Amino acid sequence: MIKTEIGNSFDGHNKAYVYIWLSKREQVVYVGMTNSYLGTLGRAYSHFSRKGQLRQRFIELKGYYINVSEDFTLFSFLLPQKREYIGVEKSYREAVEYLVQKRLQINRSRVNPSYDVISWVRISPRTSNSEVIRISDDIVSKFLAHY
Amino acid sequence: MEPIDIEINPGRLLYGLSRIGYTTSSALCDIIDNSVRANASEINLVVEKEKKSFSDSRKNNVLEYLVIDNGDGMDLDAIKNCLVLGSDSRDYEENTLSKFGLGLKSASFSQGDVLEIISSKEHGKFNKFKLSLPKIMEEGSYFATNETINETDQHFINKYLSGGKGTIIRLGEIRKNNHPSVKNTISVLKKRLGVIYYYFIVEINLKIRINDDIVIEAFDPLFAAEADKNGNLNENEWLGREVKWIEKKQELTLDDELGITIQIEATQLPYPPIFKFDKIAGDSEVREKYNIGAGNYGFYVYRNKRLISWASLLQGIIPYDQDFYSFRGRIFIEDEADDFFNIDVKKSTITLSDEALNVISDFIKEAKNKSRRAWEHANEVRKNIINKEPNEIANKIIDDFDQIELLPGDEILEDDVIQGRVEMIESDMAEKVKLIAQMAFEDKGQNIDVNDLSPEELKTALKGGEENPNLKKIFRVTSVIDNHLWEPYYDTELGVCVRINKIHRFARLIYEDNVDNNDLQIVFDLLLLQLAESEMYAYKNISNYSYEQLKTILTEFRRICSEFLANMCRRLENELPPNFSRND
Repeated sequence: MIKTEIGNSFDGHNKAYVYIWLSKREQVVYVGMTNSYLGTLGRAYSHFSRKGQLRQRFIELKGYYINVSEDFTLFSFLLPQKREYIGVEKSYREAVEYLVQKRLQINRSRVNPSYDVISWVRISPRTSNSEVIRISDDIVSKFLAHY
Repeated sequence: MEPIDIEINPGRLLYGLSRIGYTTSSALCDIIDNSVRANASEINLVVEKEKKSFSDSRKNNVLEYLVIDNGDGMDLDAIKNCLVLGSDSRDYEENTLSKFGLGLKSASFSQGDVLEIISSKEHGKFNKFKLSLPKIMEEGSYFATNETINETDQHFINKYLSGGKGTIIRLGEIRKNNHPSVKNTISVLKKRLGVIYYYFIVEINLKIRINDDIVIEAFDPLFAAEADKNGNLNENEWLGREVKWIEKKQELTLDDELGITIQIEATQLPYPPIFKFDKIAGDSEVREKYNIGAGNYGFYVYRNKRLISWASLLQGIIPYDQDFYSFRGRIFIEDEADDFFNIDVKKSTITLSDEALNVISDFIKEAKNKSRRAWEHANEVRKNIINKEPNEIANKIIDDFDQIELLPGDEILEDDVIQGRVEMIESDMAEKVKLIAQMAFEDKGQNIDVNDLSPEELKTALKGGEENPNLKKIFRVTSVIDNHLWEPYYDTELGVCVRINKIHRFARLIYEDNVDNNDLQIVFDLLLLQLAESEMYAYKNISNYSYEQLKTILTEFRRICSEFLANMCRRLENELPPNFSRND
């Protein structure tokens, strides 16, 4: 039996998330962001579909296909419900996503088992914004605390 | 089991070896390498032209190359040994590369059909041997002939080897099959040799000359001395003008048990396009000075202080991408690390072992990001400089322009109604300017109390931090409330202005993707100013709706418009100009 719990991460209406997929067994981490009304679970569908980026990046790194049922865990972090973060224009979301990825790369050896960050790092011009930095730091520290 | 002898065809073997991919300069470098190995302190390369009166730029005009060194030299037996295919490497010293005993032969025959060796170990007892590829192929056996020192040989001995010892390698009968010009070969060698023997030239004063008058100067591909002066790279502030350290020299362990370590360091070279603003072709000068371009970025691997790999991307650790043109890394290895850095026969490429690949890749990940980000930041700086001009022109065009006060068909409102609307606008704007200032400081990573700001500081923040007196109405800024593409601003001093969110995807399409299209930028700036003016006009002159209703509708319009434009850019990224015309 596979137990899947659907919580708030399903609800994307007027919300935006940065999310982290983690597999400790495969030692991989994938960071993404979405403002989809289906939330991060909705976004997961496209990540794990045949041409999904997570699946593709995993195969590139590991050389074999993902077995999703094993130990992939999704961590969702709600971004501020402000226009800057939930809009179609995504520079603020991308900046948080970028900083989270960067900080996870730097901190990879602080946890056991360590991990490879397999998502693409997209540079954003808003990475100096203090609110963006604060949100990113918060996400990373929460993630590492629960690792 | 009984071993059986299998014949080899020496002619075909030599022929094959000579075609493993040497260029003229790499072949000459390989031969010069033997001279360094033989402890030479002076090496002379002589390039003899076939037709002396022809320009150095002419192709297929080289008669022969001579590499003459005052190193240890060889006696008769040593010369014979060095002619063996796969010659004995018992003399494989600490500083040597000739692991395979094939370099001299393969490099020489890659350029010409004849190889001559003239050498003496002491007291001027010079012996001369000659190998001819066509004759070896014709005879089907591998042999050399013992030759007499002729007048020309003696001339070179007298001129360069007056100490009575040393070696002359002559590559004769150079093939006239698209052979590079003298000028081209010398130009490549000048930089190559300066990099390859950087430490030998600097530390033990090795002299390498070409045709007597060209002295090879040490060339540090990382410009570490400049980086020492300029300090560490801050990728978010670097203006592209100085060499900076990305990573200062650090030791990495490849194998803990075997105690195999390497040293690694990396610098960021200047960003050439930024020098275009200083003078015409300023960018080309910087490219030339720092040797920036495809094929020169990546890692320079030095083994025992001699370069063994030029600008290696280390099997994709450094991506094949222009954004890394300023990235220069250096790896120092010792003999013990050979198994982790496999070198090919022509000594031009290395293949990393899995362990080395993982360790270096992990270590360099952050440095790579820094380098790319710095390159992109410098590009943003360049674009801002370029964009400043059209932004100033747009402001200048509109400077003396007065918008129509009342459109035909619109009612003239009572003075007190207009006055009431203006007061509401001013009150809104006074609140708005504080929020704007707070966002502007947040963009710079600063959290401030806006109440502490002076009116001048508020005004500067409003204008996007620019103190430029030519910008009076149209301000390109890093943030706009709710991340809209634009927003109007009004006060009695400035009148109606527009703040354009230059990081909004649509603004980036105009300002960055179409950076060379000044006209488009000017028209875009003017359009948004007119939209801002229209909004203010509506507040002042439309009486059918309340001020609050108008504000809601117009703000919503701006929001929807901004989002639709962002969405269009996202969906049609590759179809929009300038990609549209490029796709044709």
